[in-house]
Amino acid sequence: MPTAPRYRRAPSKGRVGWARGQALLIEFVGALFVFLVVFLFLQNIWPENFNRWKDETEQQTMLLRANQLASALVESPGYPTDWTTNTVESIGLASQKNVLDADKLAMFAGLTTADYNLTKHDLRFFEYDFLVQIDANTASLDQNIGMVPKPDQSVVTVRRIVVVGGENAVLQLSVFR
Amino acid sequence: MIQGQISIEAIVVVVFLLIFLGLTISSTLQVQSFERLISDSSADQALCLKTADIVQEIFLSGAGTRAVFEVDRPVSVAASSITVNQTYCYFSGVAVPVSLSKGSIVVSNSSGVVSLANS
Repeated sequence: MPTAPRYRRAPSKGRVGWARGQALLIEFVGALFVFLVVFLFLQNIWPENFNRWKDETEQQTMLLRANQLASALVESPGYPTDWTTNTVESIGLASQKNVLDADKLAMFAGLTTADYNLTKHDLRFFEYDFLVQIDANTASLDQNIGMVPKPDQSVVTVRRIVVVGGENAVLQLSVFR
Repeated sequence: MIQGQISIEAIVVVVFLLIFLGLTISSTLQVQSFERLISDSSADQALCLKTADIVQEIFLSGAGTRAVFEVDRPVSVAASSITVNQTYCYFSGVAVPVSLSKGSIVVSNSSGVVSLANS
Protein backbone atom coordinates (compact mmCIF):
# COMPACT_ATOMS: atom_id res chain seq x y z
CA MET A 1 0.00 0.00 0.00
CA PRO A 2 1.48 3.33 -0.93
CA THR A 3 2.30 5.56 2.02
CA ALA A 4 1.89 9.31 2.13
CA PRO A 5 5.03 11.08 1.00
CA ARG A 6 6.97 12.93 3.65
CA TYR A 7 7.16 15.89 1.43
CA ARG A 8 5.25 17.62 -1.29
CA ARG A 9 6.59 18.93 -4.50
CA ALA A 10 6.70 22.71 -4.55
CA PRO A 11 5.03 23.38 -7.92
CA SER A 12 6.58 26.82 -8.52
CA LYS A 13 10.14 25.70 -8.05
CA GLY A 14 9.97 22.35 -9.75
CA ARG A 15 12.24 20.65 -7.30
CA VAL A 16 11.59 18.39 -4.34
CA GLY A 17 11.68 20.08 -0.90
CA TRP A 18 9.58 21.38 1.96
CA ALA A 19 6.49 23.37 0.84
CA ARG A 20 6.65 26.71 2.60
CA GLY A 21 4.42 29.70 2.93
CA GLN A 22 5.11 33.24 3.92
CA ALA A 23 3.29 35.88 5.87
CA LEU A 24 4.66 39.36 6.06
CA LEU A 25 4.61 41.00 9.45
CA ILE A 26 4.04 44.38 7.79
CA GLU A 27 0.64 43.22 6.54
CA PHE A 28 -0.45 42.20 9.99
CA VAL A 29 0.73 45.52 11.40
CA GLY A 30 -1.08 47.42 8.68
CA ALA A 31 -4.31 45.53 9.34
CA LEU A 32 -3.94 46.10 13.06
CA PHE A 33 -3.41 49.81 12.51
CA VAL A 34 -6.57 50.12 10.40
CA PHE A 35 -8.52 48.15 12.98
CA LEU A 36 -7.26 50.40 15.78
CA VAL A 37 -8.20 53.58 13.93
CA VAL A 38 -11.75 52.37 13.25
CA PHE A 39 -12.12 51.00 16.78
CA LEU A 40 -10.99 54.22 18.49
CA PHE A 41 -13.18 56.31 16.19
CA LEU A 42 -16.26 54.29 17.10
CA GLN A 43 -15.31 54.38 20.79
CA ASN A 44 -15.33 58.19 20.70
CA ILE A 45 -18.62 58.55 18.83
CA TRP A 46 -20.71 56.90 21.53
CA PRO A 47 -19.78 59.18 24.49
CA GLU A 48 -20.10 62.25 22.26
CA ASN A 49 -23.60 61.32 21.12
CA PHE A 50 -24.59 60.36 24.64
CA ASN A 51 -23.50 63.76 26.00
CA ARG A 52 -25.31 65.57 23.23
CA TRP A 53 -28.47 63.59 24.02
CA LYS A 54 -28.17 64.51 27.69
CA ASP A 55 -27.78 68.22 26.91
CA GLU A 56 -30.77 68.26 24.57
CA THR A 57 -32.91 66.40 27.10
CA GLU A 58 -31.94 68.90 29.77
CA GLN A 59 -32.87 71.83 27.52
CA GLN A 60 -36.25 70.31 26.70
CA THR A 61 -36.95 69.66 30.38
CA MET A 62 -36.05 73.24 31.26
CA LEU A 63 -38.34 74.54 28.53
CA LEU A 64 -41.20 72.37 29.73
CA ARG A 65 -40.77 73.53 33.32
CA ALA A 66 -40.53 77.14 32.21
CA ASN A 67 -43.84 76.83 30.37
CA GLN A 68 -45.42 75.13 33.37
CA LEU A 69 -44.29 77.86 35.76
CA ALA A 70 -45.29 80.68 33.41
CA SER A 71 -48.76 79.16 33.04
CA ALA A 72 -49.06 78.71 36.80
CA LEU A 73 -48.14 82.36 37.38
CA VAL A 74 -50.41 83.99 34.80
CA GLU A 75 -53.37 81.58 34.69
CA SER A 76 -53.75 80.50 38.30
CA PRO A 77 -54.71 82.55 41.35
CA GLY A 78 -52.55 80.23 43.45
CA TYR A 79 -53.53 78.05 46.36
CA PRO A 80 -55.36 79.01 48.45
CA THR A 81 -56.87 81.48 46.02
CA ASP A 82 -56.72 84.31 48.59
CA TRP A 83 -53.17 83.41 49.66
CA THR A 84 -50.99 85.69 51.73
CA THR A 85 -47.30 85.50 52.52
CA ASN A 86 -48.12 83.33 55.54
CA THR A 87 -50.73 81.02 54.04
CA VAL A 88 -49.40 80.44 50.52
CA GLU A 89 -48.94 76.87 49.35
CA SER A 90 -48.68 77.52 45.63
CA ILE A 91 -48.02 80.98 44.18
CA GLY A 92 -50.25 82.25 41.39
CA LEU A 93 -50.65 85.86 40.29
CA ALA A 94 -53.82 85.83 38.25
CA SER A 95 -57.12 87.44 39.17
CA GLN A 96 -58.34 86.18 35.84
CA LYS A 97 -56.49 84.28 33.16
CA ASN A 98 -53.56 86.46 31.99
CA VAL A 99 -54.65 89.37 34.21
CA LEU A 100 -52.23 89.85 37.08
CA ASP A 101 -53.38 90.91 40.52
CA ALA A 102 -51.24 93.86 41.64
CA ASP A 103 -51.36 92.85 45.31
CA LYS A 104 -50.27 89.29 44.58
CA LEU A 105 -47.53 90.56 42.32
CA ALA A 106 -46.26 92.80 45.09
CA MET A 107 -46.37 89.94 47.61
CA PHE A 108 -44.51 87.70 45.16
CA ALA A 109 -41.81 90.32 44.70
CA GLY A 110 -41.53 90.81 48.47
CA LEU A 111 -41.33 87.07 49.15
CA THR A 112 -38.61 86.62 46.56
CA THR A 113 -36.53 89.47 47.95
CA ALA A 114 -36.96 88.23 51.52
CA ASP A 115 -36.27 84.54 50.90
CA TYR A 116 -35.59 83.41 47.35
CA ASN A 117 -35.29 79.69 48.19
CA LEU A 118 -38.53 79.66 50.16
CA THR A 119 -40.23 81.38 47.24
CA LYS A 120 -38.95 78.65 44.92
CA HIS A 121 -40.54 76.14 47.27
CA ASP A 122 -43.82 78.06 47.23
CA LEU A 123 -43.66 78.11 43.43
CA ARG A 124 -43.10 74.35 43.48
CA PHE A 125 -40.00 75.11 41.42
CA PHE A 126 -37.20 73.15 43.05
CA GLU A 127 -34.74 72.15 40.40
CA TYR A 128 -33.89 75.40 38.59
CA ASP A 129 -33.55 79.14 39.25
CA PHE A 130 -35.83 81.77 37.76
CA LEU A 131 -36.07 85.42 36.82
CA VAL A 132 -39.44 87.05 36.12
CA GLN A 133 -39.33 90.29 34.15
CA ILE A 134 -42.40 92.40 33.51
CA ASP A 135 -42.11 94.87 30.68
CA ALA A 136 -45.00 97.33 30.37
CA ASN A 137 -45.46 100.60 28.52
CA THR A 138 -45.45 102.48 31.82
CA ALA A 139 -41.99 102.26 33.34
CA SER A 140 -43.37 102.19 36.89
CA LEU A 141 -44.99 98.83 36.17
CA ASP A 142 -41.71 97.20 35.05
CA GLN A 143 -40.32 94.69 37.51
CA ASN A 144 -37.51 92.16 37.85
CA ILE A 145 -38.23 89.39 40.33
CA GLY A 146 -35.79 86.60 41.06
CA MET A 147 -32.15 85.83 40.39
CA VAL A 148 -30.13 87.14 37.45
CA PRO A 149 -28.46 84.37 35.46
CA LYS A 150 -24.71 84.37 34.94
CA PRO A 151 -23.43 84.69 31.35
CA ASP A 152 -22.12 81.11 31.28
CA GLN A 153 -25.37 79.53 32.44
CA SER A 154 -27.76 77.80 30.08
CA VAL A 155 -30.98 79.86 30.01
CA VAL A 156 -34.42 79.09 28.62
CA THR A 157 -36.90 81.96 28.21
CA VAL A 158 -40.67 81.97 27.70
CA ARG A 159 -43.04 84.90 27.36
CA ARG A 160 -46.67 85.58 28.10
CA ILE A 161 -48.85 88.55 27.21
CA VAL A 162 -50.53 89.77 30.38
CA VAL A 163 -52.47 92.72 31.72
CA VAL A 164 -50.88 94.54 34.66
CA GLY A 165 -52.41 97.63 36.23
CA GLY A 166 -54.85 97.88 33.33
CA GLU A 167 -52.05 97.88 30.75
CA ASN A 168 -50.81 95.24 28.37
CA ALA A 169 -47.39 93.96 29.30
CA VAL A 170 -45.03 91.08 28.58
CA LEU A 171 -44.12 88.69 31.35
CA GLN A 172 -40.79 87.09 30.52
CA LEU A 173 -39.70 84.09 32.56
CA SER A 174 -36.08 82.94 32.36
CA VAL A 175 -35.21 79.54 33.78
CA PHE A 176 -31.64 78.45 34.29
CA ARG A 177 -29.42 76.18 36.32
CA MET B 1 4.42 13.50 9.14
CA ILE B 2 3.56 16.79 7.48
CA GLN B 3 4.95 19.64 9.53
CA GLY B 4 4.16 23.28 9.58
CA GLN B 5 5.81 26.32 10.99
CA ILE B 6 4.66 29.45 12.63
CA SER B 7 6.75 32.35 13.76
CA ILE B 8 6.78 34.04 17.14
CA GLU B 9 5.68 37.26 15.48
CA ALA B 10 2.54 35.62 14.15
CA ILE B 11 1.69 34.26 17.58
CA VAL B 12 2.13 37.72 19.11
CA VAL B 13 -0.07 39.28 16.45
CA VAL B 14 -2.81 36.72 16.97
CA VAL B 15 -2.69 37.33 20.72
CA PHE B 16 -3.04 41.06 20.12
CA LEU B 17 -5.96 40.45 17.80
CA LEU B 18 -7.68 38.29 20.39
CA ILE B 19 -7.17 41.01 23.01
CA PHE B 20 -8.73 43.60 20.73
CA LEU B 21 -11.57 41.25 19.93
CA GLY B 22 -12.24 40.94 23.64
CA LEU B 23 -12.16 44.73 24.04
CA THR B 24 -14.58 45.19 21.15
CA ILE B 25 -17.03 42.66 22.50
CA SER B 26 -16.86 44.17 25.98
CA SER B 27 -17.35 47.67 24.58
CA THR B 28 -20.32 46.55 22.49
CA LEU B 29 -21.96 44.89 25.46
CA GLN B 30 -21.45 48.05 27.51
CA VAL B 31 -23.05 50.18 24.79
CA GLN B 32 -25.98 47.78 24.59
CA SER B 33 -26.48 47.97 28.33
CA PHE B 34 -26.38 51.81 28.17
CA GLU B 35 -28.85 51.80 25.32
CA ARG B 36 -31.25 49.63 27.30
CA LEU B 37 -30.92 51.94 30.31
CA ILE B 38 -31.57 55.05 28.23
CA SER B 39 -34.53 53.44 26.49
CA ASP B 40 -36.17 52.43 29.78
CA SER B 41 -35.53 55.76 31.50
CA SER B 42 -36.78 57.68 28.46
CA ALA B 43 -40.07 55.82 28.59
CA ASP B 44 -40.34 56.54 32.32
CA GLN B 45 -39.48 60.20 31.74
CA ALA B 46 -42.10 60.51 29.00
CA LEU B 47 -44.81 59.10 31.24
CA CYS B 48 -43.70 61.28 34.15
CA LEU B 49 -43.85 64.45 32.08
CA LYS B 50 -47.19 63.49 30.53
CA THR B 51 -48.71 62.90 33.98
CA ALA B 52 -47.22 66.15 35.35
CA ASP B 53 -48.62 68.06 32.39
CA ILE B 54 -52.12 66.66 32.91
CA VAL B 55 -52.05 67.34 36.64
CA GLN B 56 -50.86 70.90 36.03
CA GLU B 57 -53.58 71.49 33.44
CA ILE B 58 -56.29 70.26 35.81
CA PHE B 59 -54.85 72.44 38.58
CA LEU B 60 -54.92 75.52 36.38
CA SER B 61 -58.40 74.79 35.09
CA GLY B 62 -59.84 75.12 38.59
CA ALA B 63 -62.49 73.35 40.61
CA GLY B 64 -64.88 71.07 38.75
CA THR B 65 -62.50 69.88 36.04
CA ARG B 66 -61.62 66.28 35.42
CA ALA B 67 -59.62 64.11 33.04
CA VAL B 68 -58.97 60.41 32.47
CA PHE B 69 -55.81 58.88 31.01
CA GLU B 70 -53.92 55.59 30.93
CA VAL B 71 -50.56 54.65 32.44
CA ASP B 72 -48.69 51.45 31.68
CA ARG B 73 -46.60 51.35 34.90
CA PRO B 74 -47.02 52.42 38.54
CA VAL B 75 -46.88 56.14 39.29
CA SER B 76 -46.35 57.91 42.62
CA VAL B 77 -47.71 61.40 43.14
CA ALA B 78 -46.43 63.73 45.85
CA ALA B 79 -47.62 67.27 46.61
CA SER B 80 -45.72 68.74 43.65
CA SER B 81 -43.88 65.89 42.00
CA ILE B 82 -44.40 62.66 40.12
CA THR B 83 -42.18 59.57 40.37
CA VAL B 84 -42.09 56.74 37.81
CA ASN B 85 -39.59 54.03 38.78
CA GLN B 86 -36.32 55.97 39.30
CA THR B 87 -37.44 59.01 37.33
CA TYR B 88 -39.07 62.05 38.88
CA CYS B 89 -40.47 65.31 37.57
CA TYR B 90 -42.25 68.32 38.99
CA PHE B 91 -45.33 70.35 38.25
CA SER B 92 -46.34 73.81 39.46
CA GLY B 93 -49.47 73.06 41.44
CA VAL B 94 -50.80 71.19 44.45
CA ALA B 95 -51.93 67.57 44.46
CA VAL B 96 -52.96 65.01 47.05
CA PRO B 97 -50.14 62.45 47.50
CA VAL B 98 -51.11 59.00 46.24
CA SER B 99 -49.56 55.84 44.77
CA LEU B 100 -51.22 54.60 41.60
CA SER B 101 -51.02 51.24 39.86
CA LYS B 102 -50.98 50.89 36.09
CA GLY B 103 -54.27 51.30 34.30
CA SER B 104 -56.82 54.06 33.97
CA ILE B 105 -56.30 57.18 36.12
CA VAL B 106 -58.93 59.80 36.97
CA VAL B 107 -57.59 63.29 37.70
CA SER B 108 -59.97 65.80 39.25
CA ASN B 109 -59.92 69.22 40.84
CA SER B 110 -62.64 69.55 43.44
CA SER B 111 -61.45 72.37 45.72
CA GLY B 112 -58.35 73.81 44.13
CA VAL B 113 -56.22 70.73 44.90
CA VAL B 114 -55.76 67.96 42.34
CA SER B 115 -56.71 64.39 43.25
CA LEU B 116 -55.72 61.27 41.31
CA ALA B 117 -57.12 57.80 41.64
CA ASN B 118 -57.21 54.52 39.76
CA SER B 119 -60.60 54.03 38.14
